Amino acid sequence: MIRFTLLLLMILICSCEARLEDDIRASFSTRLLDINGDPVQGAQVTAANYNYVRTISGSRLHKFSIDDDFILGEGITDDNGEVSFLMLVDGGCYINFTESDRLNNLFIPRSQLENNLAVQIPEIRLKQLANVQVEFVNTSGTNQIFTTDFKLESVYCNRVYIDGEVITDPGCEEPLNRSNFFNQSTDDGLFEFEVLFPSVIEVSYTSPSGVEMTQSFAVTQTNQRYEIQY
Amino acid sequence: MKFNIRYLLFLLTMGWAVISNAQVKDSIDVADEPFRLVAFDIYLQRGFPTGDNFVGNGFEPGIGFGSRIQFYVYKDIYVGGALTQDYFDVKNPAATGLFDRTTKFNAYLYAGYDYKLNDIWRVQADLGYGYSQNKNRLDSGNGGGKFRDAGNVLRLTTNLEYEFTEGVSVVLTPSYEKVFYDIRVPQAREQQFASGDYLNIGLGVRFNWYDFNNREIKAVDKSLEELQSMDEDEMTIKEKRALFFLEKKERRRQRREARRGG
Repeated sequence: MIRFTLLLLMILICSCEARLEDDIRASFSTRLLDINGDPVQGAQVTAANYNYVRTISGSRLHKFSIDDDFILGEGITDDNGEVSFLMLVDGGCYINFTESDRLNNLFIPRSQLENNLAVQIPEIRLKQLANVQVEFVNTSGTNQIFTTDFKLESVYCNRVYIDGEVITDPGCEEPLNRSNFFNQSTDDGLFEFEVLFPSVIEVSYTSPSGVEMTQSFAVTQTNQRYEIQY
Repeated sequence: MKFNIRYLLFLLTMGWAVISNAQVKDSIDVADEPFRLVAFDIYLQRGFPTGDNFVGNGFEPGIGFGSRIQFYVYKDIYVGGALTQDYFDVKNPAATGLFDRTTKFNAYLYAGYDYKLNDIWRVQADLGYGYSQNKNRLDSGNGGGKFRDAGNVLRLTTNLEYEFTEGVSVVLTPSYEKVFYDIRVPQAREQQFASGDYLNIGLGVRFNWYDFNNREIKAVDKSLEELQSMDEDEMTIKEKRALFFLEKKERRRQRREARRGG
C-alpha cells in the first residue's frame, strides 16, 4: 500500500503541468515613441507573466527579466512605432518594451481584462536606464541623525494600466538595500538607485526635530551623481 | 451554439428504442443478406485546417487517429459514437496566440445511412455532433505551459468501404468538421475565433458483426420444389447450399418412412 501511494505520488508530481487560462485571448496595441516624440522602429514588445521565480527569500522581482516565465505574446514595432499582437492570458501580465538601451514597462492587472480584452494604449515613451548616486555631505558638523525618502522612476516600480490610463504604481517603493537613516557614521551618506531617465528625483530628508527639506534633480544621463549638503 | 449532450443522448436513446422494436418484425420478412449489427472502426487520418479563421490561418496540416462504433438500428440506418485525436503544429502564432502546437480531441455521436453498392463495396454518410477540445502547448523554452480551447463539433463523415470478408473491411473516410469554439476574445477578433474548419482524409480497418439468423431462415424457407425447379447456373451459392441440405433432409425423411413401411 505504501509503495502504491508513493507511486501515485510520483505520478501526480510528474503529471503536474503549468496551466494558463482556458478559452481566452486578449490583444495589446500601442505606439512607441522616444523621448523626443519620434516613433521607435524595431522595438521588441513582450508580454509575460511571472509565475516561477521570486519565491525564494531574498530574491527580487526585476520586471525586465523574462527568464523562466510564459511569454504570452510578442511583437515588433513597425516604421510608425506601432505594434499589435494577440496575448494568451494567465492572470495579470507584464509588458516589456526594449530597443537597444531604451526600455519601459507596463503591468496589466487581470481585473482590467474582465470587461475589455483589447488593451489599447495610445503611446508609450521609451526611456533609458541610469545609475544615480545621491550623497548627503555633512558640511555643518551636526550630529543629528536624519531620515530620507526618495520619489523616483525606479526600474523596480511598474507603470500600471488602470481604467484605460497608465500610471506609476502608487504602492511601489524603491527597495533600498540599506537603512534610510544617515549621519549615524561618517560614511553612510551615499544612496544608489537604478532609475529610468529622463525623469526627476525628488529627495526629502527630515531632521530629528521634524524639519523636512526637499530637493529635486533631473536625471538626464546614464551615470549621474548628486550631492546634498546639510 | 450550446450543446446539450444529455438532451441528445435522450433523443438517441428514444429513437433507438422505437426503431429497434420495428426492426424485429421486419427482419423476419426481409433479407437474403445477413443483417449488419455493429461496425467498429480504427483509422489514421490526415487533417487539413482550412477557412479564414484562426485554425485555417494558424495551423499546419496534422495527423491523427480515431475510432468509431456504430449500431445498425433499422435496415441501413445506423447510430454511433466516435473519438478522434489529431496533432497540429502552429505555423502562424499571430493568428492563434503564442503557442507551439495543439492536440485536438473530439468526442461525438452521429447517425447515418449505409448503402450497399454490391457484394464488396459499400458507402456510408453520417452527421455527428459533440464535444471538441484543442489542448494547446507552449514550447519548453517558453515555460511549456498548457491551456485549452473548447467548443462543439459538427462533423460530416463519408466512408467508402471495401469488404475483404463479412467480418473485416477497409474504409476510406473523407470528412469535414466545423468546430464552434467558445473562446473569449476582443470584439475585433470574434469572427476569427468563432469557429474552425477541418478537412480530414482517413484510412482504417472496420470490424463487422452480423446477424446470420436471417440468412438461415430465408434459405430454409424456400421450398425444395422451388429450388429444384431453378436453373443450377442461375442459383446463388446460398441457394445451392440450401438445395443440398434440403435434398439431404428429404432423402433422410424418405429412408425413415421406408423403414417404417417395411
